Amino acid sequence: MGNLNITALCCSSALYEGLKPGEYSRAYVEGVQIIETPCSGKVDPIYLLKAFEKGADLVVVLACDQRLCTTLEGSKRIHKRIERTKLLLAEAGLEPERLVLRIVRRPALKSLDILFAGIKEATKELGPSPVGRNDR
Amino acid sequence: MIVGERKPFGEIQGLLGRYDNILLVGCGTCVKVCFTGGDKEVAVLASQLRLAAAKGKKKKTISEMTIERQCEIEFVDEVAGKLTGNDVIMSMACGAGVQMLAERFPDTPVLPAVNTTFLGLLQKQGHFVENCQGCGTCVLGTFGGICPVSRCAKSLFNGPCGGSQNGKCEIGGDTPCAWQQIIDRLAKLKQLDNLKAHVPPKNWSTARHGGPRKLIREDNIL
Repeated sequence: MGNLNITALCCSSALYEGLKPGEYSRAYVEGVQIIETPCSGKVDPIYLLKAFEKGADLVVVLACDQRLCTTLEGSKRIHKRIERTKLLLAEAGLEPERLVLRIVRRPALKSLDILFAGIKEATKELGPSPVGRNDR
Repeated sequence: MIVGERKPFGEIQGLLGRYDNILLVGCGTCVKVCFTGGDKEVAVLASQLRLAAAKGKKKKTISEMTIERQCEIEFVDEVAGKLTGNDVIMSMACGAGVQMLAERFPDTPVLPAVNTTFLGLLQKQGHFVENCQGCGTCVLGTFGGICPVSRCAKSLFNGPCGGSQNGKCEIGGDTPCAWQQIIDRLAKLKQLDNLKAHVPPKNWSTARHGGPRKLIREDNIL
């Protein structure tokens, strides 16, 4: 379980909003490839599919609460995109549960370790992706 | 624009089953606008096919490209070199685009990934409706810019049927009664007189019923 390959696309506002300069460093969680996006509304289904193609066992999207979205409607869009991507994954034969959306309390930077520990625990039954690890 | 819908993934997989070296070709015009067959949709389908192949431990090469306008030979010729050397071409364009590639590349199987659905317009983001059947004899001038051929379920020309209720068509759902719309619009334009004259049965030979149609513009032929 500990070796699951996780890719996380994280809204940068969700990670850092509210922190003062000097209060934070770049988001890091051991074993998780964190990709920062300007907003969860920037996350497109193809980014998520590509992450699975590259060998991710689990792809996580971190987004802000819709009412707090810095770009007003960005996080509103991510819900439908996640649902659509889950359908696309199921069609391709992957478990849709491998794609996880978490609406987080800002700034999420300080609680990333706990957040990902919880995600790993909730998805531990899934195991490695059936796509294989050729590209890793 | 031409509106299309991607075929179910299972059907696409069935069509591609025997091929290992696959080229997906999108179109950057109508089907891109209706989120069906542009570069993004090509990338999504290619990714799905790669994931499915990897899961099934099959070795498949999926290449991607998009032609700006697949239904015009000039646009296809520009990139023709990139379309050769594959076991199969799968087009994500409308039926016209698929057939253009089939004609241009007679030695390569060309398959459709899209069901071409209708001629329509974008009513609001993500919402497409049918507004034209290309019947060959446009009557929009008589009917206030609302087409009874495509928008009335019965294509009636002399008033509504008895199934119109509260402005909705009897076929159900939220389909508006085209005749309610025609009358409302002509009343607003003070052109209800348009409807006083009997409209004779339409000559459908200009529509698909007359067989495949052709338009030749001698003045444009080089």
